[in-house]
Amino acid sequence: MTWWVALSGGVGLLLVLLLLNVPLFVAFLIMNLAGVVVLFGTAGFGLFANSIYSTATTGALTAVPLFIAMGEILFKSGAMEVLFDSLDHLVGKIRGRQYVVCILLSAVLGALSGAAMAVAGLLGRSLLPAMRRRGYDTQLSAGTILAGASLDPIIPPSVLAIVVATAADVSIGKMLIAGIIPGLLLTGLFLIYVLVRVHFNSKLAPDLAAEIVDRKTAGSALLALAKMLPSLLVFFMVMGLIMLGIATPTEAAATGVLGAILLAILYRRFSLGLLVEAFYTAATVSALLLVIMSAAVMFSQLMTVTGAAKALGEVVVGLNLSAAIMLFLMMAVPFVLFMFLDQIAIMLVLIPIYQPIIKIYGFDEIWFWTLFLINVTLGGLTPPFGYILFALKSAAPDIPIQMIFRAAWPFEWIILGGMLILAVFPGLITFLPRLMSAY
Amino acid sequence: MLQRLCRLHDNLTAAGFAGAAFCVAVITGSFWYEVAARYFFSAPTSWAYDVASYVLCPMIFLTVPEMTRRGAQISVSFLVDGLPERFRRNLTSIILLAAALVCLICAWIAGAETWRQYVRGIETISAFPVLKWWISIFVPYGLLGSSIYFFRQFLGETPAPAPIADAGAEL
Repeated sequence: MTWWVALSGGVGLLLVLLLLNVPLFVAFLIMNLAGVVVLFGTAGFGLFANSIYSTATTGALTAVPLFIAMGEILFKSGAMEVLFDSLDHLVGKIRGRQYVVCILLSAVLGALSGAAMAVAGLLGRSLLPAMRRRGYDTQLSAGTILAGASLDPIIPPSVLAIVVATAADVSIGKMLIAGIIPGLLLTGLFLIYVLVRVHFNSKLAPDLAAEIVDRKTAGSALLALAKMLPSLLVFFMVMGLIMLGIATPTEAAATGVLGAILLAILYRRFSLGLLVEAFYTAATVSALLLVIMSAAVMFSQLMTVTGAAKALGEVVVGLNLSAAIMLFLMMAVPFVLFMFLDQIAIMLVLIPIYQPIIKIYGFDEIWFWTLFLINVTLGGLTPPFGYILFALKSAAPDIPIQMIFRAAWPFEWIILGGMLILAVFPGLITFLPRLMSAY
Repeated sequence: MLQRLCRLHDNLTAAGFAGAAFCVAVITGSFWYEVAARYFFSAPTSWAYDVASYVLCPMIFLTVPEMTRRGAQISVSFLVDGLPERFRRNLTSIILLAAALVCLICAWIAGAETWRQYVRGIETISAFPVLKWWISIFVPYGLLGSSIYFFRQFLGETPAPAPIADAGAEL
């Protein structure tokens, strides 16, 4: 069988199964089982079983449940309320301050967990009603929440970064660290956008005099900053250990769980029940993700066996496209696909297809996969099927979905602009990972 | 009789899920021990990383049946949601039956491989080797458990509500 028949047949079958609402892991099992039967017959069954086993025992992936447990404990530790109060105070009296608080809070939450949907749901339930009550524009408020939530899978620790790094076979530590500057850049761009819009259209934010000053937020800025320190210490404990090369990402993640427990004790929220629930959630969320990975990894092995990976590389060389155009195409394909299909599925299919092309063009792997990760995140924000949009919709059911779509678009363009900046200046992504390798 | 078997299956799945949460605790504890041993006592263990890797497999596959029971597996539903009710119901039935069969076949394949490992006494290749079937046996368990739930749902059982906050939202 020619490689392109195998590749297009496999991918086509998968897409049909996904559109038919077949659970992702079952769809991958069907595609890979069909591939094994066609290529090896029953003799390939051992290979198939071992592919599932070896992915499910990949040591690096143990960081996934650990980071989820850490995020879960932090969310329930009371750190959220402390962070919100501190940021609310620190932002001070500027017009449109709640937009700023919302974006900064999302960025900080991203540094503590990395769950975009959870953050969108949380802020949609807590911050959005308060913003609307205070006279902030509903559409822009929704947009800032969507934008803020989309930062979470980029700013480390990020479960998606671990999945991309494992599937693409690059350093997990470097991949995590690489998200810091892009996350900060996008935060900055979002802030500039909302402040400029508020500056030119005062109707978007109420007068400062109309802002309700909460007594809880009174006090010195230094005190507000001091209150944030324990939470930020957990972040620096995790990322600092990785960056300094002291601990592996898994060890740092386990240390983060300990830090989160200590924080919960500090805020008097710790209980055995909280810990058990965090472990249940970690098992649930990571199993949902890792069972798909376990079922999907065989696809990359089939790509190699059929010669599709090598032949695809030769075709790409034959096209003679410039690196810029190739990069554009490689980002445009998932961008379009993410509008209709699940990010994880597309990611796991595209990674083995992209690997040989990246090598041919000599792209820096950390740079490329970080751009790809941002693209994945963008997919969650893209109408009509972005998952973050629906998380916000379920948290704020009275807001029409069309308004949520409209709220997302400006931030989509900003993220695309950010991706362009990161593509033109790769150092923004590669600087910190390179610094890390110096240790 | 059938109801009793279903209840037994539910209880087994719930116990397995509790085991999965315990696996997360084991992963966490292993790395805590390793960090303390390595950085405070300069005596890294030879087992912590391996144990965490081994335990990941049961953590995943002890959870999978529970997720299928709740109907929480990730899927793309927009196209099917837009279909007329009758078509949607028929298509869902076909998909559930197909999923049950595929999981059953895969459970059988994984089970056959586990049996081979058991018969030959194959060990893992690592600094802390253990018999491979101790770990791989959870793969057929998870797939078989899911297969049964898909089949039960095909026969008309509605997925159980999730007692814990929607896990899919965490991604």
